[in-house]
Amino acid sequence: MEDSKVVSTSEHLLEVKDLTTRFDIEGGQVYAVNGVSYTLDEGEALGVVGESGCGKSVHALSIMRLIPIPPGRIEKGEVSFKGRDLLKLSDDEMRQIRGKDISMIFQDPMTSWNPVLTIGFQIMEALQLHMGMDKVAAHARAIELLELVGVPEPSLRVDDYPHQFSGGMRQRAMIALALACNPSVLIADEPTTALDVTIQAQIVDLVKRLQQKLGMAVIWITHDLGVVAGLADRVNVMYAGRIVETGPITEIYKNPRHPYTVGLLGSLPSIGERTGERLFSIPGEPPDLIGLPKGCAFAPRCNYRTERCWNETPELEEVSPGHYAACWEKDKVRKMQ
Amino acid sequence: MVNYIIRRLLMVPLLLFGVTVLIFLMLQFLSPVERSALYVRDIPKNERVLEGVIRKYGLDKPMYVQYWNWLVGIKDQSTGKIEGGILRGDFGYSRTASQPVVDMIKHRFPATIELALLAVVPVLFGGVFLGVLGAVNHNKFIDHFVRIFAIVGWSFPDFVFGLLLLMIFYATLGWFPPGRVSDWANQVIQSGQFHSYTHMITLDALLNLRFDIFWDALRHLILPVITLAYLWWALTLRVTRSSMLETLRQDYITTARSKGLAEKVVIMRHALPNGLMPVVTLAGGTIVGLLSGVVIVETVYNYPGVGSAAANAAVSLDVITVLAFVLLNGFILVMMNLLVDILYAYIDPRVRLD
Amino acid sequence: MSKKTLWSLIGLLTLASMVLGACATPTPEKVVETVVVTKEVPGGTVEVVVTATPEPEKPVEFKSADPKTLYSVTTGDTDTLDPAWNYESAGDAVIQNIYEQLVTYNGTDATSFVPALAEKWEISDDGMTYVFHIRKGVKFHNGDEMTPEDVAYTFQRGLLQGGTWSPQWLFTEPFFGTGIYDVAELVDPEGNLDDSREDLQKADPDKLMAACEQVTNAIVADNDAGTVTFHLSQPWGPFLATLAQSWGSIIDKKWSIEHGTWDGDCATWQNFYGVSSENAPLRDVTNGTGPYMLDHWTPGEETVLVANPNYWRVEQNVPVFEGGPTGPQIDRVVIKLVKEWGTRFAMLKAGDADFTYVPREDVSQVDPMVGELCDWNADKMDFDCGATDSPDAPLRLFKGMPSVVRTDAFFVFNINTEGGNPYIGSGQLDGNGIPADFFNDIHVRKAFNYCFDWDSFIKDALNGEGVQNVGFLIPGMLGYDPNGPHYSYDPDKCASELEQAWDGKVAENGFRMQIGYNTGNTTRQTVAQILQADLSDIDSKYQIEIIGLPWPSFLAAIRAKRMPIFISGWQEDIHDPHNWAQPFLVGTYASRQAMPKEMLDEFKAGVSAGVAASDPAERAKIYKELTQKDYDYAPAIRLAVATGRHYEQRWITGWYYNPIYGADSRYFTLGKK
Repeated sequence: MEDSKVVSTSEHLLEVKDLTTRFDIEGGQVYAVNGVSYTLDEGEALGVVGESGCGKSVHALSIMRLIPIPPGRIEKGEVSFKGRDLLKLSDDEMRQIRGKDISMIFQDPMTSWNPVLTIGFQIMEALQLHMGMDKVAAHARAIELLELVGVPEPSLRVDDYPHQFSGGMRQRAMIALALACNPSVLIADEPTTALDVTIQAQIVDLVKRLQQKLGMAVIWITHDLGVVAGLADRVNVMYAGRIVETGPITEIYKNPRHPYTVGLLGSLPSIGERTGERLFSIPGEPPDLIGLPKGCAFAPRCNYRTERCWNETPELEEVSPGHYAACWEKDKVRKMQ
Repeated sequence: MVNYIIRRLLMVPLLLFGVTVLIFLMLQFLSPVERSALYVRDIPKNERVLEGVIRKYGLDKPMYVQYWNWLVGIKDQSTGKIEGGILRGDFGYSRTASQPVVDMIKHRFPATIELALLAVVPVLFGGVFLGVLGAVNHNKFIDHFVRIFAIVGWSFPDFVFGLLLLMIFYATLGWFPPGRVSDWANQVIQSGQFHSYTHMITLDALLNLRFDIFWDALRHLILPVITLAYLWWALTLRVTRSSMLETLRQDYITTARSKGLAEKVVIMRHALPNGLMPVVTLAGGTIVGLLSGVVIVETVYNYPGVGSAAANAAVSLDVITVLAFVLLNGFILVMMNLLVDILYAYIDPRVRLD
Repeated sequence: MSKKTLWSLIGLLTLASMVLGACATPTPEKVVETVVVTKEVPGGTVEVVVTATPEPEKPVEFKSADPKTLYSVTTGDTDTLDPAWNYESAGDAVIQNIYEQLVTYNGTDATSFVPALAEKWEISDDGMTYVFHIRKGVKFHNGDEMTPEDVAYTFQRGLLQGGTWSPQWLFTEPFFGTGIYDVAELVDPEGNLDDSREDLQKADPDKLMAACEQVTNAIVADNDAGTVTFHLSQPWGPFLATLAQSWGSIIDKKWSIEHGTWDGDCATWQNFYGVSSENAPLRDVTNGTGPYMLDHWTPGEETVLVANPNYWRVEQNVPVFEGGPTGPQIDRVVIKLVKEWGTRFAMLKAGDADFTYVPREDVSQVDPMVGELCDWNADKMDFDCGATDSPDAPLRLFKGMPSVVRTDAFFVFNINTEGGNPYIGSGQLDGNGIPADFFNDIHVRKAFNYCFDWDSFIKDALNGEGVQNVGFLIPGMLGYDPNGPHYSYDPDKCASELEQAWDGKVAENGFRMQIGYNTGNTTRQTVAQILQADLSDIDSKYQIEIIGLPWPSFLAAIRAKRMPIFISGWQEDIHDPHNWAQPFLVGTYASRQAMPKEMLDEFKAGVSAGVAASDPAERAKIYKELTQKDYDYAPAIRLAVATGRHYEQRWITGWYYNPIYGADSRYFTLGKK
């Protein structure tokens, strides 16, 4: 029988097409994700960067279909994973994918674990559910996973409760949980934001090693361009629910073509900068997504803006192979010195 | 965990001591004449006899002496007998119940317990179940219905509600009468053939295999249980609902869902244990609330428990009886809190492992 | 389905099955008579059945669900069942049905007596010796046969048990002299030994023995002759009336001693004196000769009586009064204690209460349920019964019968000012208060009487159901004259009396005082309000403030004589003028009023004369004179006597009215359909 959910024999592992997620709230409608499209291949690491409210987390939750349906709604789009449109799957079918083929780790390790269940139990849940393991096997596997992510004395710690772990350890355990069922895609939603800098580096390192070892694709969501520097192959820069620039990481760093990306890069502190100078920050504030004016959403904060920017919304256009930017003035935009 | 329980247990005598001191201080507001009711039944009209009573029972001695006497009893110099003393089980004589207070409590407490325990059922199952239902179906019709139901229950004074139910279901329909049992059932219970093991009629009737008495007792219990439970059911529902809504917003719920767990599992295994913790705290207070709610409910339904006895005593200013009731409730509250704390430790590992 | 859903389903199913399976209490069935009419038609008879449509005149039958059990729902619990100790109405109701007395009232007539446990009696000419011939063949509930010895023991023990909380003072006065209220006063006339067994036991053994012998000499049994003789210390008009009440109940000597009462030996009586209600030996056990026996008494819940199968009246075929029954009609009486009015009302509606106490303020709730109304006809001294506007309603109401309760407003002659008194304001006649002896001036007392609107009181406090009382007796009593001297509302006379009071100082400065009432008592509150309004109508400088007090404060203020005016009610113990004259003129109330000695002595002379006279006509004259004195001295405002109401289900038969008995307390004559 023909499976209508098979959309195409896409060569990409994950292909997002025109994903649009809308929230109906008291003030009106918010398009948190407004026509996002990109692809992800096996083993590829993609960074998704933007400030709070730009839709980066929401788009990931939309892929996982974890958006609360009222007040949210995935208005349109297609998310094709291994040839099936995730948005068209039934709840049961989607649940089989979650935690197994695509898994997710979250920002705040302090609140992402259920405080009344052991770490081990919560990992075993996934194993028992998706891998059909029994308690004993799952328990053993959980210990292995904890060892894999670098938790010391895993056979003891497996039966500990979340509050007995430090923040960094909790995040490592979260990674262990995400990896439990050998997913093809790991979505990491700002996993190091709540950790301090030294731990941050360790986590990034860990994920990179695991990714290479297991051949997973990773989508790393962050607001900090510096964090993904060591990990991502490609970067999507998002602003106000749209991708405004995308491309290989070195390209983006060397040759940003969207004023927002420039601002993001400029606001990174770097070693060697003249001390005593104030850190650059992009002037203005993120836009209110209710009642977005027409035209480029970044225009109010943009140095390069022209009359056209106020009236016409730019689309992504090629700058160089694999590098796209959505800006009318992209030819003029240069990195800050 | 054991350490925790031991520590809590050690607190109990201290708390009880505190309760008795409080009650005793309240007693001191009475004149020595009125306090003589702790020991004698008729307060003598004769001035001299009255003074004799006050001297005999040390009602004019310093407070700490009186407290000690009240606690352990006082020795009658002439007869050598020891009288009074709450630790000896003598709480004085209840003018309104026409019997020693402790006898009144012995006779009436099982009835109140029966009522309160049965009331726990709708409170827990109705309140918790509907609270969870409302939270899970946030802002859908069932949620609104449940919320309105709860607000009405919380706002309705229980004696109005009770009388209303009585008028409809008893005076007009004749289904559920007031009192505890019908006269014919009472005759059987009083006879030698019926063995009162627990003095809770529903339970005893089952143990005696008298299903007709069981149904009769249950018939009498339905309205008081509903009236008593309604208030607390409403409160439990509100607390459960808001707590569950709060819990369902937590990040770890998203984590659980992202693992692909079925929604039912997410709610039952992940949300509920966390969401019910405020309810457990509430449970201790609810039990005590039920035990004080019985004062009005038992009066309206003419149910012979300690609540109606306390109501009678209060109206007639039989302070001795009222204070005994307060002491009893204080004791139960202390024990309930202990239970709640232990239950907490069982549910929440963060408390346990501190 | 989830566990929770399953359980709630089970719960619902259980509930449903109970509701369906519950035996609904049947509402009274109405039996409508069918009339069969036979019509003759040429060729044969044709039977035509016609069902008569219920017509208002046709009596509708009311049937109860449980005709074998009577349910009386009360608000007061029994205190003690010892007839010599009990002095309140709840216990009285139970005792009246279990025990019997030497004489009893003749049906509805409260002034004549018929033999009960005594077959006949003789009174000596000087009125000081009564000889009762004791009936033979009467058995106590436990099977013992009653003898004259039991009768004598009954009264001796009662007196020797004593107790100022008990009704024994009603016997000590006739036996030992007016002013003697307890047997301990035979040992110590100062009353220092009253109520104290310990102190009595320490008294002089000779004095103790003498006191006991005084008792046993006054009450003598002669088993051979079958009589008991009472030697009184003075002629006593109310003696038969006293014997006919519950404290005259005859007990079984042997049984009583077995239960720990006085063994009959004068050497030991002091060891049984002055019990407290909690450890009185006969507090919760009974053994009477009466139509009912005690099945059980659960304090605070119910008292249950069962019919006496060996009742002597049935065996000897002696009706309780002419035209009355010989035996109980109902097997079982359940006296249920329900304090909450709403619940009692529900029980009336459901038919589970055959009768109950209806508070005056709630009668409008019950009246729609009345289908048959019996109004008291004062001329006939009986009820006229008829249908109401809702003739099929389930209740029957008897109303208009004079009750034996009256409330008066008493002046305190010497107000207690020790430690300050908030009720009298400044304590001076300066317009801001009253002095402690304010009411010593007759003009003040008369003024207050003239400034009381009786019609308003009867309308507001008694719902119009009452009649102004003339003097200190009550209507229908020996010596009561409805046309006798009494005050009426007269603002002019009130004003003129006030002008004469205290040499004009009252009218000059005015006064201010507080009258208190116990919160919830609307009658007392209404009295105070009427005085306040009527006095301030004369002039606004005559100020009365009204304050509501909690019961214990109210009681304490009255007992300490702090309240300038106190309002109090009295229900008679025995239906005799002495029982009104004594407490009001010389006893309880006189002392609470701190009545001045000269006034008190005058009243005392009259009261003593009245009780000692045996000729009814002479007594009537004496009490009329006392009424005149009461009018002249005006020590109080005599208010009004309320008329009573008695509601019952219409399947009850046999209720009759005698002012002596509490409305719902005699079950002997009652039947139930």
